[in-house]
Amino acid sequence: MNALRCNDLRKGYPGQQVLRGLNLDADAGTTVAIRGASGTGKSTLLHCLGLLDTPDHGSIEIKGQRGDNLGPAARARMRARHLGFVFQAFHLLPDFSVLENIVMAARAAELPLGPAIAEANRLLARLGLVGKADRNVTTLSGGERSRVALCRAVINRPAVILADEPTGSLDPATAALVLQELLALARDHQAAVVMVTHDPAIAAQCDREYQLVDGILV
Amino acid sequence: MPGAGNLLHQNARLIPSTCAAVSLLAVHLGSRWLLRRRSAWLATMAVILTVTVSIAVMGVMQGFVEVMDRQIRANESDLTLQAGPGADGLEDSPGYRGYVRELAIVTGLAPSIAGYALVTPQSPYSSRTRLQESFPAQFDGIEWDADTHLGRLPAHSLHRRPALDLQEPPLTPSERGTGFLTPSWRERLAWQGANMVLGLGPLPLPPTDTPPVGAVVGQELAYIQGLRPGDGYGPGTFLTLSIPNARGGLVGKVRVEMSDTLGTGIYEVDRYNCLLPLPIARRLTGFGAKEGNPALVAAYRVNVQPGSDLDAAAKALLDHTGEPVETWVHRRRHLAKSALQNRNLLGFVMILVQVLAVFIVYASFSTLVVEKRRDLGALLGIGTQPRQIIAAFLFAAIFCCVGGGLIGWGLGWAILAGLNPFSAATGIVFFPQEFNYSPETPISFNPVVPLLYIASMTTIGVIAALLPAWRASRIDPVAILREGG
Repeated sequence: MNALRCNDLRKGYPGQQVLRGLNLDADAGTTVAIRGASGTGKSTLLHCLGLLDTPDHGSIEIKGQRGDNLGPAARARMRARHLGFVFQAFHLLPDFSVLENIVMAARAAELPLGPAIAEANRLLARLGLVGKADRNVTTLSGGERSRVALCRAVINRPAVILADEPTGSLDPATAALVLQELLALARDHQAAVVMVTHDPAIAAQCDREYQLVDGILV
Repeated sequence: MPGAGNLLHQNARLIPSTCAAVSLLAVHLGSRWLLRRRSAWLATMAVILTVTVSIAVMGVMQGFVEVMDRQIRANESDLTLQAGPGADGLEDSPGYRGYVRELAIVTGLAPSIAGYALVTPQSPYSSRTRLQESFPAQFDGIEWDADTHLGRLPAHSLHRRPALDLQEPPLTPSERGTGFLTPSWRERLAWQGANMVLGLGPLPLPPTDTPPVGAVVGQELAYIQGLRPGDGYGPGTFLTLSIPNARGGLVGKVRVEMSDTLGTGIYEVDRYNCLLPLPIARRLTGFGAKEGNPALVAAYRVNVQPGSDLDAAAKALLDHTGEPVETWVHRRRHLAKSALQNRNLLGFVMILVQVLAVFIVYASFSTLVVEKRRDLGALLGIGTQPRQIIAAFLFAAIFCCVGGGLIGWGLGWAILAGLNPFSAATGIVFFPQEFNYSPETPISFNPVVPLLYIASMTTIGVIAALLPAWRASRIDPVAILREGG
């Protein structure tokens, strides 16, 4: 069973068709890179795959379960339980500590907090953030923030991790480190990764690489 | 990778965070936003201020109501037994009083003859009456001891010294008068005592051989009608009370002397009254015994066993005597109700004042939505349910209103507690004392008032937060995520 599968995905805005019958499969533990010029619909695709946006046509299955035709509450639940997000700007919550930010994903999924906190601590230790759990995220460096965002994305052991330019704002050395961690975590957690990136070097490290051209993947 | 020891240490350091994380998402988000955002502080301050003012104002108003209730109860017996329609009055005889007392619930009985009479004062400087200064006044014929036994005419409300200033508080116990005793009687008694003790034989008589009986003139009655000590009037002033009949004659006419107990301090009940000894009132009204018929009274004031159901007691007395019976609530319901209505009206106004706080709560939470728009988008993006976002805002509103309300409760009661000491220290009188005859502002610490206001504040605060909460839950995460960092 594919962790992620989408068929004939179409999405458009008034006067512009962005996705034109796009198909994509991703198995558990595999990584897929999607490249493309600005404005080709990479983010739109990611939002559709993440059940944040509704496609005009086609289907999206997460772990074999249709997600595109669910109601808002059920989509939010599926998003919380089976999808992990690494947003381009990380979108950490500035009023909360590192640990609270990571555990927030488990709270959103209404999962038990005890195991979630234990898992968060394991992830923090693995990503070299020991001693920073109680710090406010606004005091962290860019690289540290990206790793916190990574922890938040994987804490619920999602089937699919969607990453939008996860290293776009980092220096090359930090970006390489974060990418390694992302790929390692996905492999260990048997999660499929769909990553949008401009960087060919990063894309080359993924199992598969696609270009988004004229609304389809090539 | 840290060792097991490091992880253990790390977990131990995270205990406070762990405890915080145990609460629900809504509580977690709501409380954090409330504590960290200045706009939320503004909402809390508005709630504190509104509840403080409401509790302080209503504490005084409730105090007025309670003083009014106490004053009414101080003058009213539990029940009043009256003459039925068409009857001149009720029989006043030991037999009838004994008959009424046969009812087990009756604990006290006092006769009364009440009505209106024309009062004509006598010049303090001559024996001439001053007809041009006559005025109508209510009188109440009573048996002083029987009424005192019922708990009416409490000693703390009595005055002997004529008061020019209505704001004067009741007199101290040593200064109070002695019911119907008048200066003339006291002088006569002094002469008789001296004669008896010293055996001096016949002595010059006091100004009047047999002084007229005393009448307790209500303080406002004396003041309003110009019977002021500065004008030569006061205890010892002679008054003629008369009741005209329809044929140009008189039902009755009596001469009385203003007692050295000038008046009472009971609000609106006896301060405008002229209290007479029952036999004098009987002479005035023609209620005396005639041609084999017993003497009459207009009514009997009756007290019943404490804690009795007054309506049931009234019915029992009605069944026992066959005469109409009214409870004190029924007799004074307009006075008591007017105080309650004033309080309720002010209470309603105070709730309207809370609407101002609601606007601030609404504006603050709307600002919070704008401030937290990016965070809300991220939360919705990672799968937070819209209902969890709504719950977070509503929890923040409840926390704001209940927390602010409790602080307001404390501040409101602190203001109430400090009101009279402040007034005493500065000499600033907040409320004229003619309203309640106390040197202090009446204050109630009834907890129902703050609880009511906190409940209403919370209810309308939650309603005010509903729209911002709904807007927060409707934020489009895609739009937020596209905006980037």
